[in-house]
Amino acid sequence: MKPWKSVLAAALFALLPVISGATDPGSDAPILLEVEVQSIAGQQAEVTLFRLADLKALPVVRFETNTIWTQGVQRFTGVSLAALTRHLGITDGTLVLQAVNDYIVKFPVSGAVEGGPIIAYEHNDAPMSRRNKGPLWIVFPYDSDRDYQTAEIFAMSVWQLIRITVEPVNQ
Amino acid sequence: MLQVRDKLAPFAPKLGVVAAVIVVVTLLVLTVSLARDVLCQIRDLSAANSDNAQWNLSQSEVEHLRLQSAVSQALQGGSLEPVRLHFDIFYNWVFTLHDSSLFSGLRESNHGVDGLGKIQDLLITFVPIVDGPDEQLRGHLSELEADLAVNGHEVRAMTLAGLVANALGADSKREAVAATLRRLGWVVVALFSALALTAWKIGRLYRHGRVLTAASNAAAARMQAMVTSSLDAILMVDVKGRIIAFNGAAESIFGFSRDEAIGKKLVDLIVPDHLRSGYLDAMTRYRSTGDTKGVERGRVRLEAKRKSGEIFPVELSITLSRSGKDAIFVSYLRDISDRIAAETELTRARDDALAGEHAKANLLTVMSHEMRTPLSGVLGSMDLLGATPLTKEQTGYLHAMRVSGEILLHHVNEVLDLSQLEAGVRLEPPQNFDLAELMSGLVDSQQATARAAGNTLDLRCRLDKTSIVRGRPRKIQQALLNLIGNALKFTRNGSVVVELDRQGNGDQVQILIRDTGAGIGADDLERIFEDFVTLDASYGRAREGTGLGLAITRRIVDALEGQIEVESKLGEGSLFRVSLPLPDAQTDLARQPRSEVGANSPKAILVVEDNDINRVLMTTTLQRMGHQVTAAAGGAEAVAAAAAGQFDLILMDISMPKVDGIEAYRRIRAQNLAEGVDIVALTAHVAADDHARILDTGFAEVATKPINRSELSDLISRHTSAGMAADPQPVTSDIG
Repeated sequence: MKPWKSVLAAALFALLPVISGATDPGSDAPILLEVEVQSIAGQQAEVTLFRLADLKALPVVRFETNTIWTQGVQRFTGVSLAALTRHLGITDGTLVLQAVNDYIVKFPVSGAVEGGPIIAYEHNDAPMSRRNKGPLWIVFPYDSDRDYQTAEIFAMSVWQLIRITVEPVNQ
Repeated sequence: MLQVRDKLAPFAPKLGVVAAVIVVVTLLVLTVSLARDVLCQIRDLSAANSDNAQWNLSQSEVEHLRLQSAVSQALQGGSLEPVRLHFDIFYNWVFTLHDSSLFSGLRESNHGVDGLGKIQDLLITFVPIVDGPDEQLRGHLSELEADLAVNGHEVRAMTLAGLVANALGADSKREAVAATLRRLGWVVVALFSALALTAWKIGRLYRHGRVLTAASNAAAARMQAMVTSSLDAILMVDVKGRIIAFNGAAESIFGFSRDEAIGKKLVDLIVPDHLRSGYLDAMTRYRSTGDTKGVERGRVRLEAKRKSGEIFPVELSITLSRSGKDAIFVSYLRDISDRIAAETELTRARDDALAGEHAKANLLTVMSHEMRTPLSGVLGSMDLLGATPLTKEQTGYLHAMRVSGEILLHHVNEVLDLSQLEAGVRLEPPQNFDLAELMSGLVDSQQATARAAGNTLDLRCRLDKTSIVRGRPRKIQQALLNLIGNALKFTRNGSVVVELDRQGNGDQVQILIRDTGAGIGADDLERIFEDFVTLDASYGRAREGTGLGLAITRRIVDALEGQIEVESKLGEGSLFRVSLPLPDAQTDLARQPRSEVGANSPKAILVVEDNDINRVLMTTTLQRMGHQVTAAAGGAEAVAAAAAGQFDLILMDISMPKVDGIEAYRRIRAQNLAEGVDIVALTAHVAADDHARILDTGFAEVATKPINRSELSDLISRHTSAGMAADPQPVTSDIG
């Protein structure tokens, strides 16, 4: 997106409520993911909350791959980061991924491509518990591309994901 | 060796290039594959399926501490939620350590396995409690705290074990990378070396090529200089007959400029019309069969054509120069007009010289006839005049005349002798004679001459046993007379000694003529026997005479198959040594009856002579000798006379008008008019051909005019019947 468009988008977002639920705000289901999109000035941020149903409502991606943290081929189901960012209207900037133990790593939006990383909510067709890297885990299809077998990618494979902050380009 | 190399030469570079290409390609492939290997390994290192294992390990320790902290705070009344959160986080870490391939090293070490097992046991034990109600969890908090405190050591130990294992794994990976890098390094070094070698080789080839080019240029320049400076025309012609090179000499010989000639057909330019078809045939044959015989024929003489159309003789050599598929005819061509002209000139000079010789011979023939005939008349008349009564004064004049006449005759005879000897007139037949008698007669005849010059003349004869030998006395006498006459001529108040002796028991007789006279200079010694030289040499011309004496003597000695030598010192005298083959003939002579009959025995003689003076002289002479003479003035008269009377001998002139001597002879013989009678030719002709022709006709002998009395007497003795043999009187010389 061109810089002037970013400015316009930020101005529009500034008028909206600060926190918005993706689906039914009154549901009892726990909120699994908080996505905060910062404006250019960094003051008027928009936060989007995702429950499991919200994530499942987005296009489902499913693939099988080996990982360095598990043994044997694993099957992951989730929503692609590309779909999520598209859902949120994010086209550039940086995703700051944060885990439950305050592990933080940055990931460029441009890396969120179809066939790339997903936010997995099912591991081997079962929901993931917090004791087993859940409930959300950023997973790359490591086997499909050697470029996904680097230390950098492994560092971005955040498990126990709870929050994503989207930093604008010029911050 | 050189040939082999030459044959291999075209292939050697190709083999080398192929080998080099193979090596370089192999090295490149190796390099690429190793480089890929290295890249993979480097990526593995960077990607290093590690995900910061150290950080993970230490993080597990951190999470352990956080859990402990959360438990402590809960024991002091804090919330239980952090305990549950950090329990889950720690649990997650521990089981990740258990599952992840990153920590296989850790799991394989005893410490790691033990520690991990214990921690997992603890966590599994507490899972129901943590998941249970708050009260239950709170009740077990202190127990959890205690266990966690105990497990702190395990976590620490496990972390350390993991670090060690990872370090080891990293080391082996680094080793592998280092080994690969080393291999790559070697390959690169090899590749670099190969490239360097190739570059060096190419450089060498380049330098070699430059040297060859320079040499080739130099050779070409030299060749160009040779062609340019050649005195012979050099033309190069391609297989189609077109001129492709034409040097300066060719320009000057043919008259065409180089630009005019280049590219033209040779046949149109310089081949004369009459050689055109032959040239074209040879070229056609070469083109169709490759046969160069018609073209390469070594040095040949042909004719060529100048620009002016002049045809001139050339000497030509053509060589075919092959270079690959191309062939060039190289022609060297020399204008030999001058040489031919010189040869022609030389031939003409030789012909002129031969013609001169002929003229000389002709002159001699003419001289012999035209001079001797009148001389015969003069001398014969003087003989007759001497028989008439004369005053003392008249006798003195007559003597002077006779001496002069005989000297003149002698000179003429010398010239004629020389030409006769030169012409190879056949010699008298060999006969037996008394050599001692001949020598003593010869010496006696010269005594008067010797005394006149105050000289003594002695003969020393040392022939053993017998002095009868077989040989040609008249020629021997002539030769020795010349030598003795010369010795006396060049000696004053000295002595001349003639020595005669046989060499051992052989056939050779040596005659020495020794004088104490003027002698001959060393420079002249070699020359005195040469033909004609004495004619203008001081030796010959210093005194009276033709100076041909020694030349004639040498020719006589040569004809007799003898040798003549001379030793002399100027002012001290000369020694002439003559060796002649004269075999002992005692027995032969003994059988021959010696005639006691003198010349006085009268004979009937027919004289045939057309010259009136000579006929009268001859008739008178013979009559004075006591013979009965019938004279005939021509051939026809001779035949008639022969038919009319009987004769003992016929003397026949040859050159006569109408019926000549030869014809008359044939008629007499044909009619059997003078059976058993010798017919002797009497002629002024001295040429060998004439003598041979006359003898072939059948004449008994050829006598040359003028003929003196004693010769005539001998002649009559030889040819009249037995009892008329010659009186062996020594022949006296007509001159002193």
